[in-house]
Amino acid sequence: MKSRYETAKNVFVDSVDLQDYIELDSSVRAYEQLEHSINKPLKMILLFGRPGTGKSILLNRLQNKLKHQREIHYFDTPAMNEKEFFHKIFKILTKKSLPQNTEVNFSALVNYCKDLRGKREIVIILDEAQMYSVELMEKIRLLSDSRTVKFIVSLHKTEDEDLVAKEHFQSRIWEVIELKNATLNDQMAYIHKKLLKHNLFELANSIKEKDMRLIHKFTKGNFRECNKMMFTIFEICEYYDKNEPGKINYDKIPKRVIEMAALKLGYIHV
Amino acid sequence: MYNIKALEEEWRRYKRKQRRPLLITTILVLAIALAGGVGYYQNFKLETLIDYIGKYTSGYSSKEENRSLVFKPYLDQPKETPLKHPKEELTVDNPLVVQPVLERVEKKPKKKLHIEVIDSNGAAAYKEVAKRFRLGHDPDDSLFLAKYFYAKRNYKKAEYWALQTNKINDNIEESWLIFAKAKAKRGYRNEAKRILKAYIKKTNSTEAKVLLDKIQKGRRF
Repeated sequence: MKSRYETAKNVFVDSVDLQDYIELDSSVRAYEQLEHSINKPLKMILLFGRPGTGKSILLNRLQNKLKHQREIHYFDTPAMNEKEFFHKIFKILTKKSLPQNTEVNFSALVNYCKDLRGKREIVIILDEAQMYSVELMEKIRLLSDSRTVKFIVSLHKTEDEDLVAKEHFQSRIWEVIELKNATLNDQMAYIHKKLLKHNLFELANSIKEKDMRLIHKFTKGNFRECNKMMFTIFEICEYYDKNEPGKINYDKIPKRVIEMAALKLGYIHV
Repeated sequence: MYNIKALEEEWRRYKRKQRRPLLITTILVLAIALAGGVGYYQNFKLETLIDYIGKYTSGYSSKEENRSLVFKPYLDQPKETPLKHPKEELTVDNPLVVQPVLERVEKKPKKKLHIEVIDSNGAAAYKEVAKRFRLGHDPDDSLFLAKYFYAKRNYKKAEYWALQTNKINDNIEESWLIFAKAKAKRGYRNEAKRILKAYIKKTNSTEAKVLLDKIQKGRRF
């Protein structure tokens, strides 16, 4: 029989799966702000935050919800090179594939976009945009100036990437949305809702507020870290459940297990 | 799956490390407290030694009395004389047992504090009165105890406390009557009669006569 800890462990496998999307106060606010920004006559929107703050899943959800209402495209992984990127853009704009052994003429593409102004409004979401080169970002900016293609650029918030953001977007991006790490209450709601979504009511109940505080302290409210932490906690519990049941308390998650998980993940060190 | 045993060992080391500052702080606090205690004790001993030497070399002085914190209570306090039950030492010729009374000529002013204790029913209160009597030799205290034990039918103790009263003040009739009644109740009727006769001879007390009559006729008293 599958251990309930095994089921719980799998709930926290880190993925950008819309089925796993948890509505929290902070994410609802960010989503509404993003949706509202798209409706504005803006050229570019910058969504940024530290890794694991839920940017990708938010963009995914946005695309999924709006795909039947407007032309919206989601580039989840950055193109390997400019050629590949413009190939994708060409396909979106013309709805045709680029003939083999040909390249997109960028000036012609910009002109094509200008011709489409007022006829079509295309939203392109660029996730992990910190991986695009400076030159490519400049070309993206030129495309957005045509006002036919609106870009939502998602960036990791690190010091270097802040510089990129400043250099390339400061004067052009009209709307900036920042995602922050979850508060204790948000993280508590996140963990509980995730478990409840998979009918793991007893397990959700077994994580007390002081455990949540400890988890929040270790993960600093980062969703990705939280997923890793919860996965490790339940994996340790699963081991005890199967091999040494005397060491596990089914009514609560022992503090020892949380600390062991933190040691394993390097949040604390001996 | 991880190597849980290794992880457990790592966790134990982590906990030990986590507890280390607390342990060090506790040890430090204890060490400081111990050092303080030893220092105080040594100072205390030195002071007592100086005091002791001072007293036995140059005698007492009011200045020294003020300085000593340790010996003063013991040296100043008079030793308590143990009070023994005289039992069968009474004779017809000398029923009042005046000798001990004469030795205690100095009487302290009477304290009526025992009235407060009378109101109390607790056994501890009577012990407190007995303790106070040993310190103050107040016949009111001993008479109170004699009456109390007589009422409680503890005649031996009643006799003892009546005798203590008589030793301090041989003019308290009530004390003599309790003494005689307690003797009689304990079966020493002849002794009780002898005591009463001697007392009547000395004081011509009507009460004593009535009691003697009752004892002689075997009536209840």
